[in-house]
Amino acid sequence: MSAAILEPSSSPALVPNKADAASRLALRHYEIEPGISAIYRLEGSTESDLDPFILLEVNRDTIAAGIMPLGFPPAPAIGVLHPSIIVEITPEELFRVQAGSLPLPNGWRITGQIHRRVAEL
Amino acid sequence: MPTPSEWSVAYAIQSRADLDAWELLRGQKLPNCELLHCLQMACEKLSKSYLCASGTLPANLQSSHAYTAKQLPLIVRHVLDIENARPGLARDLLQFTKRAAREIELLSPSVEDDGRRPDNCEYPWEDTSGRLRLPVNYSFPIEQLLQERHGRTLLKLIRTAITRLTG
Repeated sequence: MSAAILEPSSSPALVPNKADAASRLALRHYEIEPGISAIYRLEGSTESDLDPFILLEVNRDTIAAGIMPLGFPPAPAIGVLHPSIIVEITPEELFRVQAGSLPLPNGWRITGQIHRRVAEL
Repeated sequence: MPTPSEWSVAYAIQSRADLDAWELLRGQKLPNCELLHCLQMACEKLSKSYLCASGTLPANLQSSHAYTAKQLPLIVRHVLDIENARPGLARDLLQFTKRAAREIELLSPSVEDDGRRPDNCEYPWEDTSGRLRLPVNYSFPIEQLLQERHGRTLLKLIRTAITRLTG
């Protein structure tokens, strides 16, 4: 993809820390997806720094299709040096996740929320 | 036994072949439904490629064609991330992609929006007024979308996403 097509933004600083990388990507996604109402971190019981970070994105503009994780490689151009896994669900599906009727795979659990105002710092 | 990565690349290679066919056929005098069938298959296989890479069992992907509307916007968003596209442009492209991805998914005869959208690029159907419709002379909503500026960009982003998996 040539730069002329997408007119990239100026390069941000790289963030080597996994938690910071997760916040950086969340910031980006809040910014470009108005339908996202919340983003949560998910973690497995044996996760290491080498594993991808996992974001549970609650998006009113997506389709309810259950839990379908998608893995992505790092995105250095926006400062994200870690691979990621994105789980995108609707607000209604979030209620089911929280109620336990829509279970997360691989022993994943919600470990925290990345707030829009925090991500935008 | 093939690994998830091998399945992913295999789906991506087939997706690339479908997209190659789409581009080749665009220069031919053929009904648009034939071209659109190639595009629908390319997007479906690209979506399944990413799902395979993420651990979804290929056997679980056989029974449905309804993956494009959900997964293609996420895949395109990743390409926009790795290209560091300007946020305003990325926002516009993503909104467009969600509309286009749903229309592409509806090209499959097995996806009909609970009977509200029987139009598809493969088989004749009866519309709500009882009229028989044929894909070969039907104007699909996605055709107009692809003529828009973002439509042309979306096709390039799909190609980029495939190339990142196939090399």
